[in-house]
Amino acid sequence: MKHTADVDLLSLIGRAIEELRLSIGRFEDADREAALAHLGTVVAAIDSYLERLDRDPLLRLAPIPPSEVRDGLTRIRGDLDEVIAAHDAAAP
Amino acid sequence: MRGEGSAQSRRTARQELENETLLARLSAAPSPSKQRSSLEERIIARNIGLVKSIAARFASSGEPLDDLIQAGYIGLLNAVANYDLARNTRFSTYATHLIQGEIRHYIRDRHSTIRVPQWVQTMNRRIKLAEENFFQEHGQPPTLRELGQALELNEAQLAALLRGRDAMTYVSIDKERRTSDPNPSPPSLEEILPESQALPLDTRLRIVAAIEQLAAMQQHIVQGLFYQGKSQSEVGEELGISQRQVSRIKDRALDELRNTLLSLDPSDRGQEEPKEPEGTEN
Repeated sequence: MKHTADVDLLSLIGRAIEELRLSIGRFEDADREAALAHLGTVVAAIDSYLERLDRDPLLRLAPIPPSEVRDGLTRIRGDLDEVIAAHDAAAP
Repeated sequence: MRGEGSAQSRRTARQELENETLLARLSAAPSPSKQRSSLEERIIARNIGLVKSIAARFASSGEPLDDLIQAGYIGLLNAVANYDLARNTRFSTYATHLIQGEIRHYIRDRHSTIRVPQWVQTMNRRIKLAEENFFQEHGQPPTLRELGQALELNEAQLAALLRGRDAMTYVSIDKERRTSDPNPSPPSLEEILPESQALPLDTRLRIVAAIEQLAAMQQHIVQGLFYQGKSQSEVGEELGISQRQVSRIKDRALDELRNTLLSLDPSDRGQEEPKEPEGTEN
């Protein structure tokens, strides 16, 4: 998942969900590195999107309060970060 | 009155004896086995009145009594799964403690501002849903084994999950116990389930929780796009782009959404990698 600075929120969410599902699949295949890479991609994509959230036309069309989206994505990002950190710490 | 009291005491003593006797048989029964399931059912049926009486004490919480009973029932399951005869604690005492804990946990989840980790919320939601579905289908609450089957967990894993929920209650709201341990750490399921797994349960639950949150956000946005909001021209003016560009961005986003919803389960797709995004026009 490329995390360019011009992805709209719906695209970000759709692809993040796909990455997260792939991550589960890689974990189940015992390919932890690949699984964590998928999670890392989502974190990076969220970071990239948060930098330009105020320029996303979809938020104004909806309209969804940007603060609500920012809080939600930040929380998800934090949860995923915790998962990555836990597995990094457990790595041999 | 004294006669009635004595009769009540005798009844209570008989029930205690039968509880402990059944639990002794349960601890000796092979797992899994029909004998074990049958014993669990008998113990649960014998003590469901205890759940109802404890739930009634929390009526002032404002939560529906049926919901409190359901929460308490989880505590009873937990008690049956984890009761240790060797500790010389009466089962009713132990079960009361866990039933109260579950009910308080339920009320806290409904009212508290304390942030409960997403994986715990996800786990609670799934247990509750599985319990409700089973009850609707069979007209009675599930045994631990049946609940485990519904959640695709073995009995040991489910028992560990229920212990984890109890521990979380301890961390979050049990002030009396907190005085003896002022800074307890919430347990992770990896600590509770020490066996090595390619995908530890708490990792799975955390990722699933993230997916659920994203899906909820997605739904919120789509509803907003169709039912309220500014015009494309207004948005274009605000952002310094044309109405046509706004329209394209919206259309493409909805196409992406449709593709996502129509996509196959990733487990069916082997090594397929996600698509690269296209550029945007704004």
